[in-house]
Amino acid sequence: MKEKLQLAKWIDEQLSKDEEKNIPDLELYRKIKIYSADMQAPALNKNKVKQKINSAKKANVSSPMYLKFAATLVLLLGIGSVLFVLGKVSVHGQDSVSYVYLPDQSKVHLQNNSSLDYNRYFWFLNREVELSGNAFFEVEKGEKFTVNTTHGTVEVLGTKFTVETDADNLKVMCFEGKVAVYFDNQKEVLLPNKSIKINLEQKQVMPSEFNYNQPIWAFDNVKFDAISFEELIAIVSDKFSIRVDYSALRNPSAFTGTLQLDNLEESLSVIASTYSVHINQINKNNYIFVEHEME
Amino acid sequence: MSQDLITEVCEERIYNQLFEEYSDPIYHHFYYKFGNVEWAEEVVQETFIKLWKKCKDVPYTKAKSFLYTVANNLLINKYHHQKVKLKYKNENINTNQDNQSPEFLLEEKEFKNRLLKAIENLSSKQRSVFLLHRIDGKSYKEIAIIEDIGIKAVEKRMSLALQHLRKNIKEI
Repeated sequence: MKEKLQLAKWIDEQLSKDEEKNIPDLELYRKIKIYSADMQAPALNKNKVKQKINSAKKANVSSPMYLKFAATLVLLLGIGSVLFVLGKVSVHGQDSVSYVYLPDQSKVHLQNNSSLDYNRYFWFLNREVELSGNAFFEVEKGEKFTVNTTHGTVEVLGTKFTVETDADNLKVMCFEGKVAVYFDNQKEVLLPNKSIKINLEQKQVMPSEFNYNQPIWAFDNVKFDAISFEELIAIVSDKFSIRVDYSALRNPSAFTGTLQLDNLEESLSVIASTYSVHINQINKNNYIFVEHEME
Repeated sequence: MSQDLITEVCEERIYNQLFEEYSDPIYHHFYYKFGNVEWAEEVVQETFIKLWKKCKDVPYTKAKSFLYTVANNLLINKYHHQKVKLKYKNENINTNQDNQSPEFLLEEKEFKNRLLKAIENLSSKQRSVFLLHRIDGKSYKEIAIIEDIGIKAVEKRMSLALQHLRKNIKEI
């Protein structure tokens, strides 16, 4: 090891004259030593490098391009957030059903105690509403229309549908066109006269069908198409908060026809005449269908 | 260096002083290693830009080793070896002032050319150590810091370099 490092010691002038003698080919090494000390390397152009460093230093502190970009971004964000705040429209359904026209003339029937939020300035970029409660939508044709609820998202292109939410459930009914419902990473597509009820808590998804052309709560004039008698009575009972005894009718057939659902008397008499029976009021909230009018 | 300036690498005057002191050794070191002036220049540039960016974190006393470490890391990742081109300062210098015969001078010239060739053919590690010592006059201790290796390793590289040069010159 020592031997090997001897050359290094020698060229660094750490060896005595005596020690030098052990080195083979000393004359050659001596030439290498002398001539190599006379070499020169290319010189560094310090000014050039310094200029580059200085410009990099400045760029590091504040680049004009970067500043412009940042300023533009801040401005756009500012305008955006002002429009976002000013554009916010919040509609709350009052005592009865309210109509809301969205900026593209899409119509929303909002049930009482339901509320709808959207942004009128961003509407043409993004047809999107937030709904809590129940609403019937008649959507104009166009880009995707989205209804966000706490339970899931309903997406359509142009159609008529209701979205009903309460604390636990999301119910979507499709009256026209095609509706996509997104919930919990799932997607369900509804065709006309199909509905779906979703309870995320209990992981229940209940598809179902219905046989009328408009949501009962939103319209008084509802056309039924071959709806089962039981279902019809359930709807009417629900609408007027009454109980109807129809045990007198045996296997009543399906009902097709229009009911004026703002008028209890009229609705019941239309049903009664359709099935050739009579309707009698027992007390305030109880009615009964009978074969023959009781005297 | 007065005590109050010790941590002020961010201060323009100190930074410039560091540049004056270390830009050449770094430049030469990487030129000897890789034989490309543009790369060596780039290394100096990148290294000092990095020092500026980190000037708050690098105390003055650590600036030197910071510079060498950054430079070494840059090159390991980036560059490949090219031929080193060197020159003699004086064409007329020779080893024997008594003998100035044309034959002798021709022989010396031939030797000098062979030496340049032999240096080109050294491995970059050996060449770097050899030239830092011979051209820049750096001590083995300084070279050890620049190369980020031990002094023994420097001496070993130097010895190997000399052995290779001898072998090479005789073969050419």
